[in-house]
Amino acid sequence: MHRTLARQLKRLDLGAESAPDSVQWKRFTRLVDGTYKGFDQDRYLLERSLEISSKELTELNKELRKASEQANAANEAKSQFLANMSHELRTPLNAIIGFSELIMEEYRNLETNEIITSLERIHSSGNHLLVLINEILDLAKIESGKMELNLETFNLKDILLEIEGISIPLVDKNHNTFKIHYENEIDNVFMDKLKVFQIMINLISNAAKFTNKGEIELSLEKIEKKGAGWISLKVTDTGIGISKSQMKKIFSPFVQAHYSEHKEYGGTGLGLSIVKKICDIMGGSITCKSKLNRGSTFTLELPTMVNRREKTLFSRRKTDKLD
Amino acid sequence: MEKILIVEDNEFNRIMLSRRLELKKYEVICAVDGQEGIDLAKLENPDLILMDLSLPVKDGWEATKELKNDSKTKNIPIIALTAHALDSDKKQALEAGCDDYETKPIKFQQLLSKMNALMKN
Repeated sequence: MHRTLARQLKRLDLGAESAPDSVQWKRFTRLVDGTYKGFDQDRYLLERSLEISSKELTELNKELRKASEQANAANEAKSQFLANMSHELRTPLNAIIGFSELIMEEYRNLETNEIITSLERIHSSGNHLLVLINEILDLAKIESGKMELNLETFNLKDILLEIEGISIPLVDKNHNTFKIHYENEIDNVFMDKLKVFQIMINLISNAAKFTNKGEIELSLEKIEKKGAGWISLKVTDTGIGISKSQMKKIFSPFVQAHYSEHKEYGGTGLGLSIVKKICDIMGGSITCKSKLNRGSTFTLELPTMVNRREKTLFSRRKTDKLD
Repeated sequence: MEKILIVEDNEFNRIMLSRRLELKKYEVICAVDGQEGIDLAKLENPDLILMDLSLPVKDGWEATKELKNDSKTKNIPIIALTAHALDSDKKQALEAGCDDYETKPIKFQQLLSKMNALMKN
């Protein structure tokens, strides 16, 4: 007999002469007993399902909390980026506005030479500003899937001379030496020339920024991978290096590994994330090895015949996003 | 002639500002990082310091604190000149001991009046 029923019967304290012997009474208590057992079963089922859904809710809550933390961190990184960007844009703007006011207000007191030098500085600060604005635009293009590859046949050796010309003043700034190392038999490639160029300059100027009185080397090498022609591009420096915890973040947009410790280095924090995205679009990859205070090596592996499939895959993704 | 110390790592901005101040008949000396700024301030005892904040070796906040904690240099007025444009940046500069604050791109006339106000005291 069910516990509750037994307790209730005991509380009624029925005398010996009354109902318990009657058939009807027995049927009645059996019915009540069965109902109580049914209640117990229902309760058990309800409790089980509550337990399960509360477990699910806890799980879900944990996931939500994690997602919200991630969103907050991303938001914080974006705010930090905007403040940082404002700082970066104001620096060349200060020179542009300052030098042009200098000429406007003082042209009577200035020699022609000084006016021309000031104009050259306005011009070069304007170009610096353009680089910064282009970086922001590049990221916006990549994020909205609008970055396209312009493939053409060219020889990588031809662009090395240009790379050298641009790199030497970059590298000289912190009294570093610069070497380019490549194999003789580098064939023609079918790639996006401008983007390959952009990637190399980006990595070299990064290396130059974080290295002082050291060495920076760019090396090119043919590699075999999946049967097709690939090229490995390495930029090695002997600079300040990247710690393990910073390493996780270096390819994320808006994040500068050295931002908090080294505010003086400046930059938009977009360079490496743009480089990585361009590598992805080309069907290649980028990796980094580094030792703190010893230096870093960035290795790019790129297919020299950029696969048309990569391109269509990418443009399909692009239309998806646009819809 | 009043002597102004410019502490600024960006070459163009350093040249631009020093030229403009020279044309306004100030004597100008320049430092390229916070430590050099401190050393030069002690050596040259300028009438006023224009201090950039994001600087190599020792940043402008740190350099300002040191200058304001040194009996030899604590009376030299310091104006922070910086491309950090948030209110919190301004607050941080004043907390470090800067007497005034000017955001880049600088308004030259406004900077001159701030300089004059501080040097009169």
